[in-house]
Amino acid sequence: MSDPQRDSTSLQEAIDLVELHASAAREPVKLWLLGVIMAVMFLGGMFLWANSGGFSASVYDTGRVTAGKGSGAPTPPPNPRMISRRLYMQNCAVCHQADGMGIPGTYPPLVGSEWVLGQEWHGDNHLVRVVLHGLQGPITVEGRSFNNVMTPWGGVLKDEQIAAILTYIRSEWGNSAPPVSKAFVAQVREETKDRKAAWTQKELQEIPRQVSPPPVPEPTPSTVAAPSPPAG
Amino acid sequence: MNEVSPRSAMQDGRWPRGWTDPLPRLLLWCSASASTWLVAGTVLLIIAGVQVVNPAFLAGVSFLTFGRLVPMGINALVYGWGSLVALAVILYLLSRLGGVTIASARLAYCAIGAWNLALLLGLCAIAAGGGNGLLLLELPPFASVTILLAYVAMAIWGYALFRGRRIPGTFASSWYLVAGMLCFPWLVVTGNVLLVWLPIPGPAQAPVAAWFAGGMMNLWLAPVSLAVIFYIVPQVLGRRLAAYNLSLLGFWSFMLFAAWCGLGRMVGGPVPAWMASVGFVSSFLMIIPVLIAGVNVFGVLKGTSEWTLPLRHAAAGIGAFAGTYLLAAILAVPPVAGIFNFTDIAVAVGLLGLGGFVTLSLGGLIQFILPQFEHRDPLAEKLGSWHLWLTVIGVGSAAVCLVLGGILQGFAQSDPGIVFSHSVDYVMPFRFLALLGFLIFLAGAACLFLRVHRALARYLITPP
Repeated sequence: MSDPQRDSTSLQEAIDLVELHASAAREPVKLWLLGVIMAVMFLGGMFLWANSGGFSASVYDTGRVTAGKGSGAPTPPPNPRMISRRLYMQNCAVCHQADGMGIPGTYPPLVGSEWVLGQEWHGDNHLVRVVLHGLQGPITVEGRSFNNVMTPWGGVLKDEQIAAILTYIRSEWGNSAPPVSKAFVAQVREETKDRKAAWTQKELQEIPRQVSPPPVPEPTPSTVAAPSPPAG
Repeated sequence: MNEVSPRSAMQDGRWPRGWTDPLPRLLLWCSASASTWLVAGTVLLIIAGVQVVNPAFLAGVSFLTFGRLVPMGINALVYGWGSLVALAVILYLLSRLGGVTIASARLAYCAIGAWNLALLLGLCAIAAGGGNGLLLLELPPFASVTILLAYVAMAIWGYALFRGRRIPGTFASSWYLVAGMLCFPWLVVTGNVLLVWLPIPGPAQAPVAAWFAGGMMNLWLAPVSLAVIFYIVPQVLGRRLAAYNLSLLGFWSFMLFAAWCGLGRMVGGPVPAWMASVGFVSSFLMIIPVLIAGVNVFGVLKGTSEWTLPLRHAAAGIGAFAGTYLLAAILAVPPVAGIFNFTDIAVAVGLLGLGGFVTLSLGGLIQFILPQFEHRDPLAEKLGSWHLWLTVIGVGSAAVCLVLGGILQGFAQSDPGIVFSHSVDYVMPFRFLALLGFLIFLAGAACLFLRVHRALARYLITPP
């Protein structure tokens, strides 16, 4: 097709095209190509033979049909760590990021933070207060200063959920600190029920440090009462 | 006409005495309206894409909401761009491969007019809220019926051209053309009857819908596009396809597996086990026709220096063909489908198929016939070249972004620690980049639109 003006094929060229290919169709087939085709068909056939359920209309993929009343098997309890992670991702990760590193200069990190781990003057009661009512004004985290506002979560999250999130951030990303119990969150919430405004670092520093008691094992909640920490 | 031997037919000249060939003009008119639909459909999908990234965009305009824009865009691309060109291509190529032409294209022109009008009104009905949520079956019944009648009016000539061919024997392109021509009414009638007019019981609808939506691509647009590639390559180079002895196997394996391919989307769905398995196996076995077509085309292209525009189109088209079906095969592997079935990777498969494979191949044939209307127009050549490159770059970059985003999205969706809305947030940057790819594709479509309409205007001002 050297001449672009011409309209494609002349009759002779069309005849040549068909004749050319008619002879080519009788040539021997390349063996490697045939081998690959046979191998692919064999694999496909074996898979179909093993997974077609005899082409019966009533055979379903058992691995996937587990929902519904008839499945019988008891549902395993949800992994509490997964629930905590989900709560963190839903509520906290927007600012503190999924990796807990925050955003330098804007949102403080949770990884290795003395606020989270309860080091120096920081206690568990301070951490719960921050989550319940929020935080504002200049603060210092890991030697760096931040000046931003954290929104209060006390109205959004239940005690149980706050405890789950705090326990999660204290044990994720290499952080290692004891869990925060639901009872402790409830206690701090009760102590601060008249508080409306967000806390500042200065105010928090004036409150004595408290530590959450270790959580009570679930099956015997009534026999062992949580020891009440010293009032402050 | 069958008894005329090739030699005597040749001496008679190209066509019977006194005939002029109306098919290039028919293809020109068809391309003009189809390229308009290509631009319109892409614009609609891009607006929808902007709304995904920024939901406030045009939020108050009811007929431009996401749920209406997407079906409008996809229907415009499939029925307006792909199918309309495919019909004209079937007539044109069957004429060229048979050495015959049609006496009058009056019926065909009426059919194109009716098709365009029905599609326009149908899209307006979708914009007014008349969609039904069944992919590619959203057009209201009056539009579907009109389109089907218009198809019949065109297909009558297709049958006549094939039946009355003067060249004995058939070529691979003719098989694909005739197969596609037979599949279109099968698909449209079955889909509309079983899902829209007399809906079958609920559980059976999902596999039928998957078969139909897959079939519109795999059984209708893909065979015609392959026919174009198999026609252009030996025509331009004057050499035969490299592995033609396997092409019959390639054809039958393509038609057999393509019909079942759509069920690959049902892996993990509430269907009997054999349906999902057949869907996966068919998608996997599509490797065979892809391999055969690839060897056929690239075996000839190897070492060639005549890279004319239609040839480059065909090479890019066969590349997109391989990419589409290999990606679809990977996506249908049951463990992979379990994670990635409902991610942007499925969008990437559709984009590679419709935007890459079909657009490049059919565009190649349009550019193959345009020069006879253009009288050596240097700008037209440039527009055609830009169309090719912008389409390749746009589709390629958008598909890569969608696949990368889809991988992230799939893992995020199957992680119980991540809420669903976040799995969508992770994909946003990739969707934004894919949107840029779509914009490049739109620029390419606009180049094709300009080239076709310039040729049409020149033809109307100075008829030959």
